[in-house]
Amino acid sequence: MPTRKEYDEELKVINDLVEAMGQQVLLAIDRTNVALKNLDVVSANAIMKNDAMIDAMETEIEERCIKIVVKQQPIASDWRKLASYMRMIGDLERIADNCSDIAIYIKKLAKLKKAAAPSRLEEAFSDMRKMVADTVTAFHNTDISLAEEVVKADDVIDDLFEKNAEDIKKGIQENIDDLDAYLIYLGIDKYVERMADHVTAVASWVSFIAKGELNIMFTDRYTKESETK
Amino acid sequence: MSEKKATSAKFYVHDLDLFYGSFQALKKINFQIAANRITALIGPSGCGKSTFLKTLNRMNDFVEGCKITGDVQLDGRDIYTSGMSEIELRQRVGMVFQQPNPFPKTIYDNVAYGPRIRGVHRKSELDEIVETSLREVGIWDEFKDRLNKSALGLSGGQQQRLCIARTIAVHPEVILMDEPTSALDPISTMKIEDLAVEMKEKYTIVIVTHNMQQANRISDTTAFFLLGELIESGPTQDIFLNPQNKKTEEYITGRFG
Repeated sequence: MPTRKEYDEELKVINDLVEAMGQQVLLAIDRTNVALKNLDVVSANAIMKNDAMIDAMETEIEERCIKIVVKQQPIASDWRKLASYMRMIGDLERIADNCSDIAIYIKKLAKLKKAAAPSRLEEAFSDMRKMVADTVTAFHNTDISLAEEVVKADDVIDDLFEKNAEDIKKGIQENIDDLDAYLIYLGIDKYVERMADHVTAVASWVSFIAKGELNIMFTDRYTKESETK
Repeated sequence: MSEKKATSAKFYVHDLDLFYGSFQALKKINFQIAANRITALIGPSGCGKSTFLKTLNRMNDFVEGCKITGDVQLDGRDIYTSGMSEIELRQRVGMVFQQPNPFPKTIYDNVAYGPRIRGVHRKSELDEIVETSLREVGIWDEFKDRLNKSALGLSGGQQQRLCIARTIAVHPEVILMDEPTSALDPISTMKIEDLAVEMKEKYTIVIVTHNMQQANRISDTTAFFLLGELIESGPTQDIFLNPQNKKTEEYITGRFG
């Protein structure tokens, strides 16, 4: 007969809350994407207002994790989950923050003369969005191979960031009057790249929960960059 | 039983079966116990972990109808068939029990008991053994002025540390501990745990415990027993972070149904 009923129930609640937080972050990304395409100030304000709700979810999950750790002393897969949840929610919250950061830029862009967005910004955004959606699915299904695909996809976003930056550079050279807009696009380009980094970390924790091997995928870009002349 | 050469393990156990009459309490146990490490044996009541512990110094010999097959080697010598005397074996492999069991004698005589029956009678030599043993378990300063008081007047934690001092007074190589802190309060428990960790530099320690946190805190290797079988063993942090066997996971997470 199974024991530790209340413990199992609470673990399930925390798991469901983490998944719900992932869904909310995905929704924020979708809203940000639409607001960016339309330079929609109303939507941008809604995204920023909604950020408080995602912050509150993080706090609630964190409190529940701390409480269950203190009271129930979880080990083995229970501990792997809880330790991972506590890291994952931090990264999810950062992604939501980045949506709000982009929303601030959307408001600024809306006031400026329209400049051409970098040609592959939409692609980068869409790829990053897929990484988040896949991570939520991988978490729900404990799907290690999908989580590992997400980790691999990060390199594509890094590459797109560089290509967009090149586009922006050309745009500035050709239309110096649109400098302000281009600088904002560069900021957005960077935020999208950072969001992909955060979700890569989340996907690594999904993999850790399932496999128990601590192999968090930190970018090796800094090492590579440090070795270039 | 064969005399296969053990590896660097202190104990090498191969295909060990143990029967109490027709009941098989241990089934084909293969296990090595590393020297100067703490090995924790865990598992539900009746799983065979204490029975296994007792095979390591032949305490099961006292049980009528107990039959053992397989190899149990201490430093490469089979403790059942090589002609090693039980006296030699139990000097080399000491034991500490669940309930502190000091003799109804003075503190001094408890520690001096083993050395005396092994032929040490010079007072100066016994004094030195008593002091060294009590120092090693960290209770010399507490006890040095009342060595002639009865050991039965001590607290449970003090009694248990005295029993450990009594065990090491005969210079064993291995110390078996059968739930040594289950009758003690948390502070006394921590003292015994700290002591075990300090002692592993000199001794090989095998501990049976029902306390998962204790196994996790102090042991280097953990072995999980269930229904007479060794289900899983390995480095303690692997067992408690990422057990490979579902039964191990269910047991250590308290879901054993």
